[in-house]
Amino acid sequence: MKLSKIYSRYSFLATFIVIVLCALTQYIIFESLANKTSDETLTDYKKNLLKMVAQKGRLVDDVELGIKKGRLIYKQYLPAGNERTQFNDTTIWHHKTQRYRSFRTITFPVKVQDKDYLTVILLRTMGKKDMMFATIFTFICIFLLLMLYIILMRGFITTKIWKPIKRFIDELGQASIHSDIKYEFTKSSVDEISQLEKAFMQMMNRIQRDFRKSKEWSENVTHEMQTPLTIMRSKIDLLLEMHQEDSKTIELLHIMQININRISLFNRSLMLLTRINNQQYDNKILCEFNRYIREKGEEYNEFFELKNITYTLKEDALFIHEIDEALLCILLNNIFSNAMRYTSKENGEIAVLIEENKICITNSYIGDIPEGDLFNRFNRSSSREDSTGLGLSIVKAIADLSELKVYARYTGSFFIFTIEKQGS
Amino acid sequence: MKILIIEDEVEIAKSIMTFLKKEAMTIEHVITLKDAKDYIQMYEYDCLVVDIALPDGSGLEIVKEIKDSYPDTGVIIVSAKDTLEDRVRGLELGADDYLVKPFHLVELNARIRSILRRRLQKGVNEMRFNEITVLPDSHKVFVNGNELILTKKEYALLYYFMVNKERILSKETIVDHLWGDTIGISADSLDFVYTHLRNLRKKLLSVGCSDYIRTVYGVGYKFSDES
Repeated sequence: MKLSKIYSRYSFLATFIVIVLCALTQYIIFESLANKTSDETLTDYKKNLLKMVAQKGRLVDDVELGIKKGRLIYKQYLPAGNERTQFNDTTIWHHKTQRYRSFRTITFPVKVQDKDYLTVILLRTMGKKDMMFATIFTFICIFLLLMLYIILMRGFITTKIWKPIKRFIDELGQASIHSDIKYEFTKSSVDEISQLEKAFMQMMNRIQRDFRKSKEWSENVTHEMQTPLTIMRSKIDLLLEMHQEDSKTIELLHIMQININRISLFNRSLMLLTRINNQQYDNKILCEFNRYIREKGEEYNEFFELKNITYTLKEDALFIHEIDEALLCILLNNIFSNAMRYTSKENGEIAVLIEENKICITNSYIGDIPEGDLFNRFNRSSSREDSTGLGLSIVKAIADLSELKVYARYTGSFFIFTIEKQGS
Repeated sequence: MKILIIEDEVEIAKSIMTFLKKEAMTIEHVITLKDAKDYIQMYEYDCLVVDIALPDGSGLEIVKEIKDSYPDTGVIIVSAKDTLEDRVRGLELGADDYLVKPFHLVELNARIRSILRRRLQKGVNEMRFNEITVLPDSHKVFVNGNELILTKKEYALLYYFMVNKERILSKETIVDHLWGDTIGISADSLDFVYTHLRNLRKKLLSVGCSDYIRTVYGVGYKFSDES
């Protein structure tokens, strides 16, 4: 939902609540003030009446008291001794207007010529309904005015304030650390947005610079490592040519060659890991894993046959996921290579099961089980000197980058490797 | 056959030149992109071995230039850059092959020979070694005129031996050549080499071919008619 809409919605709700509370408060205060004023007037009438009764020695009528006719009532009664002055609200049917009218009353005892009278004086007041109507009407008007204000403010915010935010969001959407474009700061008329944009552009340019440096670093390291290795390897090749008849020298040169291979492989694997972690592979496309697994199975079939491994592939569904194609090939190659490498030689089995959200690669396994997290760098079976210990770290890094989960477990003599879509 | 090596690392270039001397090739070496441009303008080459990272620019420039001007010249890129993206970029510009550093000189030799064979021996393309004849275009092998049926890997192995005869090929080099990055060097892959080699030897012997595959103990093999 757009910010302006959320702003309008909450403004409307908040205004409504505030208006209702204000109206209630105003009604209560208004009513209490009106009663207080009425009570003071009625008390004055009472004082006047008592004074006049004392002077004249008889009951006085409404005209003498100076009030409208019919608003002074006497009622003779037998006093109980606990009579007090009381104020009350009452309504009286009015024939002329065919409506009830509201009155505030004061009731008090008067004694004239040894007779006790209960005196009631009525004072016309504004009816509660009228008062409520007036309050509601007033606040509806205020509410409508506020709504108008909010709508106008929303329009103003959308055009004047929201526009730069919208532009900023568009720029954010197009920003990429892989791009070589230098992000320029666009000055906005709103200070806070200007500051935000400026901070973002600075951050983005810093990230881009760091990313470029990191990319250059990995390229330089690759170059600087592989070049001397190439020189060493080529010199060993030449030495092998020159000493073909000297078996001892050949053997020593061969050991050097093997170790140059290992350094080179380590270097390449580490650099691949660095590139994955630096997100240098960002060409994600929707890939149907089934096809790639089928192809990888065909590619490895030769090795499976040579190693007497029974390979089975069961496809229950299509596993489709967004991933960089080159990384998918590396991921599958590492998994297949790992499975083949660690599959038992006697009656070895590798089974692949593809489901909609999960792929399981199971292989029969005999050997040392590495301790700790299999996906940690340099974690490998102690019996395998020919492994770099980086294969599964690369698999994990690719999985993390591609929003996949990978985990491995042992059950009996089987090693099960699982790839799962995140959130499935 | 004339080869130009464009490589800023003099020691690598020297090794290549020394190694290829045995192959009766004329080899020249330049260090910079500018020199490389001058040389290809002045002389005609059968194959170029180009490093990408040169002191004054990218070797890819020369690949494009040579392919535009002399499309028949073979080009092999040798580079430390090993990503698929780098390889595709090089091959898209017209390079015939892409070899990642560090490489074995025997592998470079095999690749150069492949390119030269394809480009120079149009129509009459065969390799001979005593009674063995290999037709690379059709992947056929004849021993004393009789066709010998080999698997794809056995053929690749025999071809690799033929282009690198009288040279020691370590098992690791053979693994690299046969499977590249697919399985890497491991006890398994070395076993696979042995299995393919055993089958190749058996097939050659079964049709009366002499055993030219010599075992270099603890290292690898050598294809030689010297006993």
